[in-house]
Amino acid sequence: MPPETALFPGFSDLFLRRLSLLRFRPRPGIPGKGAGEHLVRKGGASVEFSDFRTYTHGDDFRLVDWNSYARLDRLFVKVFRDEEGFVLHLLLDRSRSMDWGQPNKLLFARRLAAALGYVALSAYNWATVQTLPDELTARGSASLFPEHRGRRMIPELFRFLRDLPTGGACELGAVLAEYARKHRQPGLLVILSDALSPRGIEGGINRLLALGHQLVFLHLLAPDEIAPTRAGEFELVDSEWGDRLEVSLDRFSLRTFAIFFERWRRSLQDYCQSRGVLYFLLPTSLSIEEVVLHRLLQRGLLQA
Amino acid sequence: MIWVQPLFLLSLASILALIFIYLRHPRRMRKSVSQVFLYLRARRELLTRFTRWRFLRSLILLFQALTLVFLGLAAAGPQTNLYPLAGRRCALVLDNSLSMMAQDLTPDRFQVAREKARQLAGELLRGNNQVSLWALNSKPGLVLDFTDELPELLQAIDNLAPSFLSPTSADDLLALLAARATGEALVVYVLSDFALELTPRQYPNLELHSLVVGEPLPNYALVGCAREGESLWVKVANFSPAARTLHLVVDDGLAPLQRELPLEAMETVDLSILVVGTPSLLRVSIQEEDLQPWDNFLFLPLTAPPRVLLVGTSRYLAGALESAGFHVVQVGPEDYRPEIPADLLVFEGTLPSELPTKPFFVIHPPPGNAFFPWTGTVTRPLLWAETSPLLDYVDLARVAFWEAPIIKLSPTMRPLLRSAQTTVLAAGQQQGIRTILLGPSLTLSNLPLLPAFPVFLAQAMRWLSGDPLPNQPLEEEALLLSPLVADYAGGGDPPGLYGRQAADGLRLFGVAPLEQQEANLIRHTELEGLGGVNEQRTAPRDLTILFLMLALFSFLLEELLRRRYD
Repeated sequence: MPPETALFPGFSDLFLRRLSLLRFRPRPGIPGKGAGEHLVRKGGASVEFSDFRTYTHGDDFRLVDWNSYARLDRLFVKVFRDEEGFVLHLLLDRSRSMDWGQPNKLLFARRLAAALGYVALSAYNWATVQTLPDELTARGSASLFPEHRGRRMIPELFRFLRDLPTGGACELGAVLAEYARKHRQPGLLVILSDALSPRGIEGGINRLLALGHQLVFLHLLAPDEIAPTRAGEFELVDSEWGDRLEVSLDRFSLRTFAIFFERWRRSLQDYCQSRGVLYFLLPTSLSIEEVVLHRLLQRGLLQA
Repeated sequence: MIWVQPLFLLSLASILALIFIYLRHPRRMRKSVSQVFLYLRARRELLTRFTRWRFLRSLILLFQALTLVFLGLAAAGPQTNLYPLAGRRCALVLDNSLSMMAQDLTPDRFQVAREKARQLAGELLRGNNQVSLWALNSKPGLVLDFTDELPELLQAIDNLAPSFLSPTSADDLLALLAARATGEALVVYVLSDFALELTPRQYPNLELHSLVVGEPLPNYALVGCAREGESLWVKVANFSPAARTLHLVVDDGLAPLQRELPLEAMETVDLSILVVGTPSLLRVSIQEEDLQPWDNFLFLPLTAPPRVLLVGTSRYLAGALESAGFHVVQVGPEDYRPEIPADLLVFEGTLPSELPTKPFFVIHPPPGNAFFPWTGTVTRPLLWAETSPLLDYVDLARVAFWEAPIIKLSPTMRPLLRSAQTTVLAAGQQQGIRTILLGPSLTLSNLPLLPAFPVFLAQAMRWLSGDPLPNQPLEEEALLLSPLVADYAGGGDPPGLYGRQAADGLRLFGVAPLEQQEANLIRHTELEGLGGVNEQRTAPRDLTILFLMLALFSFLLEELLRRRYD
């Protein structure tokens, strides 16, 4: 049994093997970082032919296409695509609102982040995990898993995610903008959050897009958030901000709320799609295997 | 409306408590959620966009609040205001019957009712009404005619004394009141310990308000009795709310008869007790403690039938008297002694040398007697009758006499049946003694063979025994005598001829006609919960119906909403 399965008991050996066969398929134009398996357009030394160009002084003679010279009596050199690694930014919302629901949203997010990080690291890409809010936890554990590459860092990643503490409150839009300010190197940026931020997250997403990040928004919601079912006289307490609200929830108002919630989620989805952000609604009732091996694969974020 | 009732105040307090609880929203279940801002926005949108839903929710809340209000009002029992009158003719009826002496109120019901009547009188006269005062008892009647003088009315109220004789006769009262109502309806206020009821079609010219004075009695029983031939009929009723064992005592002065009667609540029992001997008075009583003890005993005078001493030899005459209910002792003329005990005397064909000191009936006085001297005879006289109650129901058309003596009557005797030459039948007084004279001999007449004979004989003997003549015009108040009383006290006498006499003779003290008493007492139980002087309550029933309708409607509306929006 690989050591990773011991670190994440939910992951089976088979699931990890399947993950190791997957690769991210980032949008062309994402700048690379170091060698890797990600093909970029600019000329490189891979075996993947890209184009011809006129020979100029100083070009490597080994790249001259002698067949073309024989036919055309002109020197052309072959240009190949380069294979580079890219940086996978995993922005994981660990605020108190994420530590809610059945199944728990934060647990789901940690497992999903672990799976995505596994795919990235096993393909010799860079991966970094930034938890939001990004302040240090009370136990002094770091909120950031810095950029690493290579399979050897997978146990480290798993340990980081396993021991990740919960807590804090954050305005997601603001912390995304702050992240954009600090990390200017574009990459594939995956946000795992419930987006339950009273002021919205659009501002933060705009800032990230402006830097050239390719954004993927994984919207994690518990089933009871999407369609609450329990009626009665309640004093609702916001688990993140502590706000209170006295409501009488009958069947009619519950249904109204569900409709309203769906409308709110749909507006967020429409906004993401209009900005080219890949949006996934992921109820926590789904299994990680279903999410990774089907939904993300089908939508082209991953490829086998 | 009068609202200041303890129950009403209590209900009002409970409604306020409910409103307070509603406003406070106590004991809401605390629930942790991932966010509240979306709930808040959804609620705002719900309230702003779904105005119909908001209106209906408010309507349901309104109905529920109204339901609570009407429930409280129904429990409180608001009372009809009694004093908005002006310029009307009113009758103030004060029950001064026996049951009003019950001391469940302090000092007793009658005093409380009288005080209330004084208040009412002041209120009514302030509204420029004319008020008359009536007494309600076994013989209800007008005490003071319509007046607008308050001192006079108050004086009449104060002078009205409680009657210890018998309880009320409400039907008679209503009939009297209806007779006094002219044109505009008469407004009647009855202060009694039971609520008079009046159906709208019964007396449309009466507007009745009953003011019930009295508490439900926790221990209430009564006894009633009447004579039924040789037996004594006794009815014992337990109107207490619980079962009781009552001890009945029938005392004839010699050997009291005691009987134990276990009775359930509201149960009555009828007994028939054989009267042994010839007691003149029975005392029937129940021994238990009672808040209204006045009807727990009564005296029943057992009047013996008049004893008639028949001086003569005619057997048919003795038989006729016995069939009319008289106790007859017959002696021959030679055996007559004035000291023989008798109530009435009948002389047939004879007269003593001295007039008896008791009423007597002389048939065919002998010639040469000193008191009814006759000078000759007339054969087959042609008769005509004077109008006399003594001859009512006596068919004289076929009566014939073969011969009649010509008798000179004293001025104190009034001829009742005469011919051109003589008087055949006369009644009057002879030396201060009631006397009836029938001149002809019955052996020379067909009168004993006719049905008119026992009728005539009975009426004659009754008159002699001192009763007023049957069918003579009765006194004004006697018209109020209920047939129920006559039937009850009469003990089976034929109605019409002797009913009233029998009723007077067997007057029962301290007991009402039982059916009426029962009805009153049942009303007492129905009015359980009333305290002191109360107006008759009608509103609670209406409010309860309203409450039920509102509750049902709000339930249906809420259910309709749920079905529509779910």
